Amino acid sequence: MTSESAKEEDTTRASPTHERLGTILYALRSNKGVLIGASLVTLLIVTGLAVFIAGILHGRITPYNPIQQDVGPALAAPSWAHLMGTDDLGRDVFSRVVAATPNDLAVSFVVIAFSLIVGAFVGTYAAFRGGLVDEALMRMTDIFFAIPALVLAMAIGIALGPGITNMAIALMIIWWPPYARLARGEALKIAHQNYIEAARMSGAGRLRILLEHALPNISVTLLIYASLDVGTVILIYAGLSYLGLAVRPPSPDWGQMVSAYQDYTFSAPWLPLFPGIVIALGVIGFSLLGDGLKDTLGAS
Amino acid sequence: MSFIVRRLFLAIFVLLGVATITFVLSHSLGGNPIYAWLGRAASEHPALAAQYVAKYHLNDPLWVQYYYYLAGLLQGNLGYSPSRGFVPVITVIEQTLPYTIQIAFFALVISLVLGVTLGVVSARYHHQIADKSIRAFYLAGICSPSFLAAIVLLIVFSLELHWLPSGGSVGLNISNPTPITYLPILDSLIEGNFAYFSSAIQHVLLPSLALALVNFGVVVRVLRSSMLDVMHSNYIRTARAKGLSENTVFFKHGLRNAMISVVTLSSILVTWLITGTIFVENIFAYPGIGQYVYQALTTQDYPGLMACTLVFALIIVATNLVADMLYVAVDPQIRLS
Amino acid sequence: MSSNRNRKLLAISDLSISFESRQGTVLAVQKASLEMGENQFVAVVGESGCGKSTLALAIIGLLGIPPAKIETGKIEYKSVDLLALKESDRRKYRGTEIAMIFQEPLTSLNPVYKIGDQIAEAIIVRERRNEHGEGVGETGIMQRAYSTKSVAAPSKLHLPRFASKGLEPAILDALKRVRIADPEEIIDRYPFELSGGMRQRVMIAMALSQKPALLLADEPTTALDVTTQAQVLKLMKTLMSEVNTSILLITHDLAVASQVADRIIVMYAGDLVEDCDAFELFSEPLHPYTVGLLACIPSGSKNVAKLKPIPGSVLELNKPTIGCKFASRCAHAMNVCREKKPVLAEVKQGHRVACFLYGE
Repeated sequence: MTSESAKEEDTTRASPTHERLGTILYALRSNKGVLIGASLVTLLIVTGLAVFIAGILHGRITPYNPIQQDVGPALAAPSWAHLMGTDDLGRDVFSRVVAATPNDLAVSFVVIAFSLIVGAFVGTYAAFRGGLVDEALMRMTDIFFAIPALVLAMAIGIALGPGITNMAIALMIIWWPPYARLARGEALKIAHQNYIEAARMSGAGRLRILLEHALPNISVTLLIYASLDVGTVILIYAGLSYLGLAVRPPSPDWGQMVSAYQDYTFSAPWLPLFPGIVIALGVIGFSLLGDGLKDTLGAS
Repeated sequence: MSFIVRRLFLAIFVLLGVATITFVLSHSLGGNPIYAWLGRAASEHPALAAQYVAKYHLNDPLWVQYYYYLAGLLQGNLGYSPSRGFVPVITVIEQTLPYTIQIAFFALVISLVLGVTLGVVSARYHHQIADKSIRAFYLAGICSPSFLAAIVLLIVFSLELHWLPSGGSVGLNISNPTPITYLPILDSLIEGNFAYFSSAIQHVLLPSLALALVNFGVVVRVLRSSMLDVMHSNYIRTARAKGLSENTVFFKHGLRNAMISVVTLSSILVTWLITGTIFVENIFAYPGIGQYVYQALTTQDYPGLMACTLVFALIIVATNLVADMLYVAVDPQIRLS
Repeated sequence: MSSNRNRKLLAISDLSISFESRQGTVLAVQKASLEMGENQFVAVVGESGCGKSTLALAIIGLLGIPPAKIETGKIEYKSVDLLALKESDRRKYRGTEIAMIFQEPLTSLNPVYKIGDQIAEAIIVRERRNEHGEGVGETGIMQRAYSTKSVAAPSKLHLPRFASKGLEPAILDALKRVRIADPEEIIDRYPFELSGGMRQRVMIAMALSQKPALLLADEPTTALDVTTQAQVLKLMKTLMSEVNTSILLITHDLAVASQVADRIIVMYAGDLVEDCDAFELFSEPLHPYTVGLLACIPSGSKNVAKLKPIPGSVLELNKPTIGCKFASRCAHAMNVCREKKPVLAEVKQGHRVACFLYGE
């Protein structure tokens, strides 16, 4: 191995971020699943943003006012005028479904972002500290694992009272422990690697080591986990919404709509089906995207 | 052996933790802590309320209350349920738990049978069409909320095909079996009460199927990945070198090792199934704990809700222990080291 | 049948095997030809990656056919070309005719079944084949006198309990034959409970219990410590004279080969370069690579300072070479060596070599 060949390697290497972006785009093109996922997610995010911004500007992008009654005959089947039909109060279901988009998305993003940040810090800290702090974290997460997310969120939600914000808070409280555990695991793996030892010996403080060295490496694993987790938050939130803990009628929300329209399953089946299917499509989109991300980033 | 003992201690610790959480939550319901025992309508039952205040020392400092709370729990005292006419919560639990166990059992069986079969097929034909279609199928499943699956099944089988009933645990005018195991379906089988048995099976099928459809995907994923790993092991090569047929190698050596991962998965699976009953029992009007939770939520029946949280935790901890024991039985390395 | 000493058990002619890899097509084995008779102990020696394991896997038919590909050649076992058989027929030769043991005895044994059960399974395969008349007769052709049912173990998910099948004596015999001290204890144990040396003995016992005529051993002692290594090798040598089995030992260690083999074949980068009697290899090595290898062996009597590594490194097998593959590292390389490829030819009685130093 001569010095010439080493130099050769250097010049032909693209910058790391450039490479990463390249691999992501390649994955998007070659993997059909990822393409579908990305399209669904983009559609949802764009719709959600549009509805949200329109709301702020006191405008509306939906064909009808989502809470206005009698815009059409009650319980009408899907038609060109009403793409998803109308409900028992004559409201346009399509408008309601579209208008509800920001709810699920916002809650899941906030919860995941919170969990990522808190989990990463707590987990890495516990790993570096070790001892009692570490044990306490592990035991605490054990308890959280024993109660299913839904039940726990429900219990907290009852104590706080219904409402989207309260549900988001409840979910945030219970969602970060797995991230902390994951971060802790990764941090432990890294803690023994040479460059951390080198940093310690060079006198860098604990916090600095944490921020500069450990976090960037852990972040990939956490992000991959998070991308697959978004779908789960959506499902749990939809469940809470179905149970009536999220919004108060007449505000539209996907889960709540399924619950409200449940009694019409036999007479007007499209009513509970459409919001339910939209939930599933959202989760599918994020899952496919997350899978694709895992395959490309995980492999590199 | 010490493995099991350690898990037992962990289980107790976890249950204690859960009880503490419910205790804390009961006291954050705002206002009078008596709400946690009798619900918001406590004021309508002053005699009962006074009884509770005395018995659980609700006027004493928090840690005293905590002690009596735990003591009460161990005696099975969980308060009175306003949504069920102020009967003791423990009675409601006794009445509803067997039905949920029935659904969870059938859902587990369907999930495992479906999941293992499709997982094996996926592994055998991996990266081919069978594998990809199975993936599309189970992905749709695990991404759907359980209430969607329930509604879809209801529409397809009840509305359109009229094959199965749309609700309840059993048809009308059928005599109940005598309680032996307290699981009605099992009891009717033991007794020979086939009218009840067949009707009950028809009623439990759709709810169980709904739960299974949204959960079996994880089994497929885990088994497929486990099978692919296992089939690359050296002992598979040895098995082939011995002249065994590919089927024998695949099932007796491959699957047998891959199944270990499914055992560990089963306890998580049960957790999801039990949670799902909250929605599915509601849609199918199946009288289990899930339905009780739903009703308690909508009527602010706090004693019921807290009790259900505890029961859920108990079931999950118990299932984890059983799964741990199964794991020990199935993997000799754990058993003997 | 003692007069069968010279009958060819195994005759490989012009075997070439390639692999599809990300770097392109790699020629793992090129035009290999060798013969083995009954009751012979032959060692194939070469560096890692020289193709010796591939050769062994091809003989027993456990080569993953994609990505591997048999380009040309024949593998004749008892006069039957194994490569021309369908897989279902080929499988019948595995275990009871050609057996193989591998390098890592821990991972090569199924962790969830007891030792006794795993050996019982091997014995049952043998018995069922005998029952169905699927033995290999004088002509070497599989005879299916009674039925064409394939051999499958009785139950789908469990190995048969050996006690109930009355196989215990046979299993204990197999274990005693490999000189295991307390076989009654061992049959109830799981693989992870045994030491490395014991596990390898178990592997040998399991392989021999099927009474194969040819046993392939792929680096069986590499994972063992030196003392155990010597024990296992000695065991293999002894066994060969006790049972009517030929052994083909694959190893990278010439010293190991020297302890046990009757004949040694040297491989380099997919080519067979020398093939002769073991004693002659050490006293009169012909191929420059062999000479180099011998100079590398540290031994008590040699001055350590005189260890001479062979200069250069092995060529990458995906680049087709013109001429002798060893030429770039050979002290005696001539012009013809870089233009034409030497053929493995007999230059003395029972001594083949592929080198232009000894003629065309």
